[in-house]
Amino acid sequence: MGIFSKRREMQLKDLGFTAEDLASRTLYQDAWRRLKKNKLAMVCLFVIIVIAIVAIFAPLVAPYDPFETDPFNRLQKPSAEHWCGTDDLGRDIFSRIIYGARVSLLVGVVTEGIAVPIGIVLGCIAGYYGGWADMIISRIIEVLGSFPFIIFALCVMFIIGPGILNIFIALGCIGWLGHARQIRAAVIQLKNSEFVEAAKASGASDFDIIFKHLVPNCLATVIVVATIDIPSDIMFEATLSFMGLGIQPPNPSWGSMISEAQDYLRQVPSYSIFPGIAIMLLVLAFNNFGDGLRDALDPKLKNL
Amino acid sequence: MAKYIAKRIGQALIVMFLVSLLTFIMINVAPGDPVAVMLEKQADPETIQRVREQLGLDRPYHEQFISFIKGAVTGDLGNSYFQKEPVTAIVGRGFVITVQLGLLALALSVCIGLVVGTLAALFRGTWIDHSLMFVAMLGISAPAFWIAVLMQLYFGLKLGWFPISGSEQAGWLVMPVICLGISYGASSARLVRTNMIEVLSQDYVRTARSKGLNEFVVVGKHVLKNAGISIITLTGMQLRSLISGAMVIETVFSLRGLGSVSYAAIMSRDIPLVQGCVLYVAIVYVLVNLVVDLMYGVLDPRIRLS
Repeated sequence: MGIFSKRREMQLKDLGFTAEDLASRTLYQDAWRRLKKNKLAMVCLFVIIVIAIVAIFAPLVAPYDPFETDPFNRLQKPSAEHWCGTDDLGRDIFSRIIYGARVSLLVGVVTEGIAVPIGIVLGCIAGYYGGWADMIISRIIEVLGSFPFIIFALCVMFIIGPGILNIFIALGCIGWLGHARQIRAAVIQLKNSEFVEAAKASGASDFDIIFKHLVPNCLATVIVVATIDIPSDIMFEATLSFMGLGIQPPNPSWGSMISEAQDYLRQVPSYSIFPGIAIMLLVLAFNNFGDGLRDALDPKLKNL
Repeated sequence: MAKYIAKRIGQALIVMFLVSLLTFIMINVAPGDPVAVMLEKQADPETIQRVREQLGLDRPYHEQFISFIKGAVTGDLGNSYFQKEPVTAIVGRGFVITVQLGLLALALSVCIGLVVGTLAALFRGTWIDHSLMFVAMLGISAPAFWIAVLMQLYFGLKLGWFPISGSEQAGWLVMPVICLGISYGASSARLVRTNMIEVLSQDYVRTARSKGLNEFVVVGKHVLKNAGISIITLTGMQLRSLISGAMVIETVFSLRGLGSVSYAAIMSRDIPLVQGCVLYVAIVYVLVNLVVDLMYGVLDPRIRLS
């Protein structure tokens, strides 16, 4: 069903618009059409999907067992057998990079999975109710935000110890701050609009107004902010693992591999180069895809 | 203006107090008795009890917290458990290294950002713009600690130009500053470009150009001045994350800055030292926020009034 009258449609068709241009579309269909036109973003989406598939099917893809040590093949340079060489215990670096992708992707997804719901709930409460609730939540955001992240992460690791689960907790604890701030601003802007007034007048409860009217209207913002935050989550995990606070050995993570490689810089420089390239590739793909998604979904957020 | 400054300073003080309270709570809920770690396994329960009393750890929590706050205000944070030295001395030494590193890196990053961002904006859409932005995106996507390792590999080991660790040899600051500067400069370049493009499309720029002013005057006097606020915003934002960034880079180059000191303190459960580090970093952080906010107030009257 088109959105124009038959006559107008004919006119527009004469002007060179196709039937697809004239069909009614939802916001998300519209965004997808815009995104598809952005070649760089689509290439990056493809890269992310490939890395995700490789990570999921790591046992099938990896040429070697990432934990299998081989004392006779320690610190090998890249060769036909070992594409990226071997580490100090003779483990295949390429296979460990493939398994390391699991950690990086998981960190991105799980952290946002924790941060987004907390950010939505607290951001909505602060924005919708204002007053004391807003005051308290805004101060919490300010105080947590005035902790340098690395000190906060160190403190969290100090209390609950290093490990991947604890990285999720540390990142999730900080990650919601940005979401809450964005959603609070969006809700404040939306709460006086007519559709909210209409809902109020028809007797909708606060809960319904927030979750049926306000949240769906901020969803585009949430998706954009979450996608843009994923690369920084991946980077934080790599940094924490590099400092020895993240993934514990023998589990492979790109950050901890670079830190292990630091001891063998002289013998095998390639050891430290490949995991870094992996981080750069994934973060690059997410950054460009996030930018594309932002432009497609919400052009207002251009400066984010 | 005086009212605005007073309000911001008041807020900063509240945040400082809450940060110290939060640190105190976090340290006290953490498992593991620092005294037991300190004396290792040889100590009998009585000795442990005696040391606890000496350190004041047997007193109720609120008393401990009050004496910590009193100490913080008078500049006495007690002695480190393991290094028999006042906390202020240890943290102070680290502070000097981190601040040097951070400020130099910030200066470098602002220079890189301004030059690269301005060039890209002026040559918008050409190959110059595309290649500069591609390099900037690479710089943003590569972890700073990895750039540091690569620099150690090439300039330290292969060419032997700069020392790869410690702060004793000449030139020790060069590589840490460059890799942090590149990392942050890349993201400022993108933001400067966006802002410059916005300003370049304003009417007054067209007027300036049509008056026949040369391009240097147009960019220097009209465009950069108006892009100033967003560049200061950016510098403030960067300074905040630079503190964390510098702390990570220190560990790569084995510098004894705040990052390495607090990492070691947390790992050894040296409570006074941990508190001291967090307090110092938080003070710097809050001061940076305060200065940046006040500068907006000076530059942009709209913020002061709202």
